[in-house]
Amino acid sequence: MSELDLLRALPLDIAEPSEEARARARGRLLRHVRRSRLGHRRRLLVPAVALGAAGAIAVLVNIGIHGDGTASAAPVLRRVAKVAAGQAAPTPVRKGQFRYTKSVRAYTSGGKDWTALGPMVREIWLGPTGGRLHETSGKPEFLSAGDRARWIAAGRPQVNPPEDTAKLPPPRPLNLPTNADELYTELHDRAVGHGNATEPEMFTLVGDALRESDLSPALRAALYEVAARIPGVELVGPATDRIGRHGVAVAYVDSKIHERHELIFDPNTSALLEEEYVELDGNTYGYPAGTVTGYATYVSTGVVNRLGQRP
Amino acid sequence: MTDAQAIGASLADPEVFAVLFDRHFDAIHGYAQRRVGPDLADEVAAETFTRAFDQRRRYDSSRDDARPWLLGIAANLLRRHWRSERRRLNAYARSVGAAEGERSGPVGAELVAALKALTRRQREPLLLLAWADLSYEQIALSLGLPLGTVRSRISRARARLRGPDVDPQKPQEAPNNV
Repeated sequence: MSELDLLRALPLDIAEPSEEARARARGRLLRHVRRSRLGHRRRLLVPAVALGAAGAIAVLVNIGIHGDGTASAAPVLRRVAKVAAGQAAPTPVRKGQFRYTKSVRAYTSGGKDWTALGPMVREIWLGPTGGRLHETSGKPEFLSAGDRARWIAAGRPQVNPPEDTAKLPPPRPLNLPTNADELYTELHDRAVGHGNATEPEMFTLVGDALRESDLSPALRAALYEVAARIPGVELVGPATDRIGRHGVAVAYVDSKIHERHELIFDPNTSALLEEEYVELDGNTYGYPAGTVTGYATYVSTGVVNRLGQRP
Repeated sequence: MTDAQAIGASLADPEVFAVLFDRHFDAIHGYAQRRVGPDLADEVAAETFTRAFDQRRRYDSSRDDARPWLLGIAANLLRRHWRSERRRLNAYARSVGAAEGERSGPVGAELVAALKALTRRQREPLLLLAWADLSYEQIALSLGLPLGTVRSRISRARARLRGPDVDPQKPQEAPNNV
């Protein structure tokens, strides 16, 4: 027996990872992926066509807020669904054209003993045959002064690559039904068994789909209707995003991992303006309550005639 | 879809990366478990995939199988846990000794002792060979070392496990007494 065989034959009672450990690890990866996906491709703002929803914010703040501030978001979401349904279809992207989107997004990265949000300006050109992504890195935002100090002590390692360009394949069709009942069932089925709890996963899936402004008005309306039906979606109230636009915020609190996922949208256009992950007391990372661990601001969008062009 | 294709697709559609998790989590977990035990293995294996996700742009797309790359990330993370690894090796030594009893002598216990005595640079490639079934080339890839370096480190490590006097890299010190 060679020493290698002896090594292999060591009595190591190796067990398969437990289902629980595997599910936990998968959930952790997917949450991480989610943060990275904030501001990701096809997250486009609806062209700012305000249709028949003048004064909606004023109406919204008076809807269903209870004393404890955790009002149901359903009435607000249903109203926005109506706005979405009444909007014009997005400009189609023809062969040779690209849909351009710009967003600013950040999610946590870090080293052994420091954590920072690494903001990236993300620009995407996507057409029927594929496209391009271009990202430029901004100044890191450290979770605390201590994190910054430890980052300096570690020799100021790069938080994100300063610049990144990638070729993108053509977008995959979403294949979602526009009937709200069917859509609810579909998203529920997709949400089950992901390693995350079902309702927050559904809320995330709705958010994911809403970033796609090239969706039909009917599908956007159905998505807001589904969001209204997900148990536990809360109304946060009027909110301003990082570039000063006013909207209304709804959120889902995942009580299992003590994290709030917040969406801010424009009630006049139904466009998603910004989203954010906020850690709450007892969160899995041990961050102070209120720590933002990811955000994306959807800045602008438009159809252009060549790669690299901006609207 | 190969791993390389899944990683490429995940640049545009990040959730595709879950394919890598589903394919390789058990293997990474198994390797980490051998090195540091089941509890830490949960943590190391989970962290391996979030790290891998962050580093996916740097993946060499000419490599279809991502397991060596993932094991390299895991190996990096395992370096933090050298104390646990030493404890685990001590436990092996005890269990090997107990299992063999008077039957076959202390071969296993000696082996574990020799394993403990290896430097990290020698032990890491050796264990990727023995416990993760990687080829020399895959080990080179996973640790970011030249192939020749991997060969010589493993051959030194193996020689040291065989006995103190048979290091093939230093023939002048190693009489042919195998």
